Amino acid sequence: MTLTLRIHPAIGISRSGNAPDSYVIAPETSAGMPVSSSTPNPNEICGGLPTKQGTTDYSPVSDQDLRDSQGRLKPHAQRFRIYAYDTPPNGVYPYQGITTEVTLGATIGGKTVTKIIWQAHMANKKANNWIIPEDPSDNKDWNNGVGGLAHYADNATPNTRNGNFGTSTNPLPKDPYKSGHGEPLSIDEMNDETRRSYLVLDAGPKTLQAESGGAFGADTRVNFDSSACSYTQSDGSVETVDYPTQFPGDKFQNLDTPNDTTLESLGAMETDADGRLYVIGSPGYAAGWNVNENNPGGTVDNGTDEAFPLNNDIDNDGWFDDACDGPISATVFFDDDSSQQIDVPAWVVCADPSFAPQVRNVVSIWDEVYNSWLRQPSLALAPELCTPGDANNDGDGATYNDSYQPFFLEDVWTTFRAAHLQMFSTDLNAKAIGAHQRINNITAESDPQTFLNLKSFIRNPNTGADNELGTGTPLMPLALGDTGASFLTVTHTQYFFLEQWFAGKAVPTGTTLTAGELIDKNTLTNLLGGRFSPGIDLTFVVRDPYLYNQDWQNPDVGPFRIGAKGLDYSTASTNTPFLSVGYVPNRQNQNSVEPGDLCKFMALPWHTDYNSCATHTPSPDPKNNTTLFWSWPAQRPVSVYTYSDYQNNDNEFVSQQHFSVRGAGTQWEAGSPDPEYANGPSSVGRYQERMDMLTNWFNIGTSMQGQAIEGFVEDPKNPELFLEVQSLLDGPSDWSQPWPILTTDKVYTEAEAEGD
Amino acid sequence: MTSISKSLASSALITLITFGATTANVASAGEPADCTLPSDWFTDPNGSDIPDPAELAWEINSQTKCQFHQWSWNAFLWAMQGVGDDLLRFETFPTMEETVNSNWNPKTVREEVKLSLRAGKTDHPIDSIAQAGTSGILVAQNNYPVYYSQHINPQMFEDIAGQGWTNAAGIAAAPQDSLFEIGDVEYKAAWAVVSSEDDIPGAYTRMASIPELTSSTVAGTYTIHVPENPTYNTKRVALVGLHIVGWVNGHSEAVWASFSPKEIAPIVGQTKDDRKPDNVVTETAGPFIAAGTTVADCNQAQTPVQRLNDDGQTLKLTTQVCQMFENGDRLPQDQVNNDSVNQVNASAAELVPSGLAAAGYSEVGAVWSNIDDENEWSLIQQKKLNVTFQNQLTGSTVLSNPVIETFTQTQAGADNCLTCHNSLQFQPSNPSIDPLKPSMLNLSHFLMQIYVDTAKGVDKK
Repeated sequence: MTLTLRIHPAIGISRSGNAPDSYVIAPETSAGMPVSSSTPNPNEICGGLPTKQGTTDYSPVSDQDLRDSQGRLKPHAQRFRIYAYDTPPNGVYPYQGITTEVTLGATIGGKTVTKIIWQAHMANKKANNWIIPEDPSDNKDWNNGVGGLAHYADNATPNTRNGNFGTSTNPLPKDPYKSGHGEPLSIDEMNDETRRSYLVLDAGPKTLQAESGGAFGADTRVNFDSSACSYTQSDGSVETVDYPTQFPGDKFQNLDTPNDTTLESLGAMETDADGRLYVIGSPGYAAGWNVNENNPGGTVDNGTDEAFPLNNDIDNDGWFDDACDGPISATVFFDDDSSQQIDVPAWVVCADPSFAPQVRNVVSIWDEVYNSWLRQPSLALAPELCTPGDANNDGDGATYNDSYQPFFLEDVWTTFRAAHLQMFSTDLNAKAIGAHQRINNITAESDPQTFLNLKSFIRNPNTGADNELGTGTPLMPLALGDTGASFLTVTHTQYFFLEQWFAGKAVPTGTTLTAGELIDKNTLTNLLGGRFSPGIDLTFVVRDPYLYNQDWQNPDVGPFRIGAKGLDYSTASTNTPFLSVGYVPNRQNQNSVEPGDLCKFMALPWHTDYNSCATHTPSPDPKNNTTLFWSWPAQRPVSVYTYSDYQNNDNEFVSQQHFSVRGAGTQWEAGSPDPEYANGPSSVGRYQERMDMLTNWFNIGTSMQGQAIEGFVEDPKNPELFLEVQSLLDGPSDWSQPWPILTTDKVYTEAEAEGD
Repeated sequence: MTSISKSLASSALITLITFGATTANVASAGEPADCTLPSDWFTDPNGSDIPDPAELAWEINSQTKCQFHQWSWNAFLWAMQGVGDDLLRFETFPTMEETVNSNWNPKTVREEVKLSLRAGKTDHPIDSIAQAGTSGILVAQNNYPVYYSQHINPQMFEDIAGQGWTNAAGIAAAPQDSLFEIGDVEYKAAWAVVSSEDDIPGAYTRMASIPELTSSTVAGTYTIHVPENPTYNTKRVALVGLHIVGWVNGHSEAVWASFSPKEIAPIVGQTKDDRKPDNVVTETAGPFIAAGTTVADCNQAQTPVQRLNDDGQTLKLTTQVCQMFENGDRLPQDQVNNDSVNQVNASAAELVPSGLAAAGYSEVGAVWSNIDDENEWSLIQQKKLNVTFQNQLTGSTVLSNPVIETFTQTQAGADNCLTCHNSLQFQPSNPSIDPLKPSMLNLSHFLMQIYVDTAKGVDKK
């Protein structure tokens, strides 16, 4: 009998860290939300924290678990679990039956699990990908030109990173500070073998066996490097393959290596004693090649032996990083010598570190994914909730069931909670803090009309001509918007849930997800959504129905699975790059996603974008505006309250915040030649030289709930605080100013503010 | 009976007059070629012919911008008229404390007015009765901070008392169709400490009690504030700014006008070249600016480095005040309004008798809605309830008084009166105080401050 087996989470997230031998487990709980009950309690540790390494139950980390003994930042490892579905799912989400976790020794369908062979394939295609436009698309027919998909509508593509690689030694864009640079290569040109062999990092397929009574933990570790590759065949056997692994040092002779590595690994994987898989994030480094190596085999002059400059926040030609993504599959073996291959993989993406894991994003990737799955006719996740709209325009015209009753805690309070938690990663003024605290205090029993007049304060996500995307205060969220939109909006589905609550149609709570489905959801709730220019964890492609396996009602597939391309590793040969350009957004190609196709849409290297995206003026900027707003405040904390201040103030709250990115190299000085940093307030809270972020990101501290900090003494007046710990950044810093912050404001140092 | 119907009943008793003396030469869109004040207001050098703006508030017919500027001047002139006891009329009007306690008596001889200081992170309404923004203290060139006071006219006092809006419960219980009466007026005054009557040319001065300040570390942050039981000192103060907020016919959102002594602050041009950081704004020192001040130094709050001197009254750093939008206008698009303000100010300069306290002042600007709501609740509900008015502004659409909204003049979302004074749900900073439903009453932060201050169970600290 064939079982229905699925790997969860469907999409997982590991995170980079420079500690080589230890890690923390990526959170399976949801940022900011209660963990053990349906009632928020400020004295209990809320969700979002990673779990201690080596534990299988819920064991949130303390501040002492974030770094190794040498002070290096631990990466996050995504834990993958296999669940057996008791009866084949009938195409309804959530699943209505019972699920059982498939672990070594467990009895599934009357058989005992004896062995699990995991397979993973990590790659990074960032350097052979399109740039990330920040301006609205000229194609206004698609979503009014807003959002990344609009740039791919009607078979268009943006320009290409490293567009003249192999053809010129003059790769510098004409205007390094504007989006729209790069070269307009065709997909055929991008598929050029030289480009694919030089510009792609590919660790190839790796397998890992977990067996009852066998090794586990570090003893099973397999690195995603140039070591031998193997894959699992349909009969369960493991086949080695001469796979063309690719790393920068293989091709480039003179790499600029700020971290003294040529990028030799995309992370690793290991198992626990129960056979679960842990995919460990990459070291998090970057390296650049020299200008004179930009034209391998070409006939033009070699150019200089200098490295390419880091002159852009998002798209830096001549650079690699070691972010990655790829499919996770498994084969389960039983005591009757049978085996079952799980054909439809999960997917893992290695993203930036999470420096405020409990601070919830107002719009998360879950909100985006769920929104698309409801509104796209090819996905149609829950027609009883939402009748999908136009497949050719981002689900435009989808309609929601007016009688639908959302769950207050999961569907409504999540937004309120996120709004409140922003105070721990931005420097809000007292009025904003008070107003957000009030909505955080809203309960299922509260009278909606009393607390929040929805239409007054929540920006309508409508993207038509009468949109509110260019209207700042008092509309919320008070953060920068998606590509082409000045300000952020909640998703249509979030907005609908808020409307239903405001109309008195919400019910208190009702978690109906199975364990695997809950991990799917919780994992995605911890990721940044909304502002995809490009974002931090994943980007606008999560709105594309063709990113996913649309056959989700097939019992062996299920919802939210990436539409993985079937790869025939038997055809691989050592000297020919194996992966192609792969997935192209906004096409109608089913199951075309290869390893490396998700993270390729993120910044290159990620460090420069993380550095820059603290605060900006909106784009497009409202007339005469001089006010700065935050990019991704939950995922890229700007201003934090420090535990050090708290302790120094006799364990009482200190209202003065500090920049999360601070210390030597971060202070703004007048006269910066980079327009990005020309105005002081536009430039504080980040390194003035992008290169400095490449060598300091692992020293940034992490904000966590006080109760999770060892030795924490609670301030009775402020029972729920999220305080920064484990920052290794020191030196003089600029002073963090409460919002509103104007580009014309003067910048002060912390020393000046302290009267020194 | 709603406020509207009550007002309409009273309006029938008023004879319509031609509002605006010069209407013969009409410019485009019905605007007079020259916006002037009626000369018959000034036949008496003591100003006794200046009409009560509560009556002329009914004469607004929304046809021209000039009308609103004329009415604003009317309200200002009337407020600034001397009424005995060396006080101006508006100074004799009810304060917030008198309103809450319902103990204002027009015949009472008022003690010296106690002025307030904008403190650090405080509630929104307090922002509006003091310096706008969130943390800035405006400090004149003599190192004294600027103080503030607030009053309402007797009609508004009666209106609030009559409706039971003198406490939080009464305000919360107000029906959603509640409106202020046409003719209600709020006054918000900014006062600078001066050493003599001539320190600030043209400004009215008087003696007033100002609190000594203190500094302390609150939640780890250095803060300058008024202590709980302050010591008051008597100082001469000059009126450097006066906001007039008046409810007029067809405009339930009120007309928001502001006045200051002429040339209280240098005006910065609006082109990119004008606003280059190194440009010198003025070579001449003034009460709120040092000679040689550059654009980069304009309107800096300096909050983190500001410190209180040992005398408890002066601060170490002075503010360099610049006016960022002439007449509260974006130019050239607001040229018609700009012309109206310039014309009406020129007219006032010519006509206002030199013996009147108002003679040294000019209008900074005035802003209101371009929708005449005809005093009809259905229209108000449809167009003006639960909005910020930003897509229906007219007049001086980026109006800030440089000495009252110094630090927010170029801040999107706070660059005109109605961004903060609007009909949205009112959200007090203190999360223990319930918000108020959307209401036209929420426009008045005088009323909202009463709501916050009288809310039950609130820890005032």
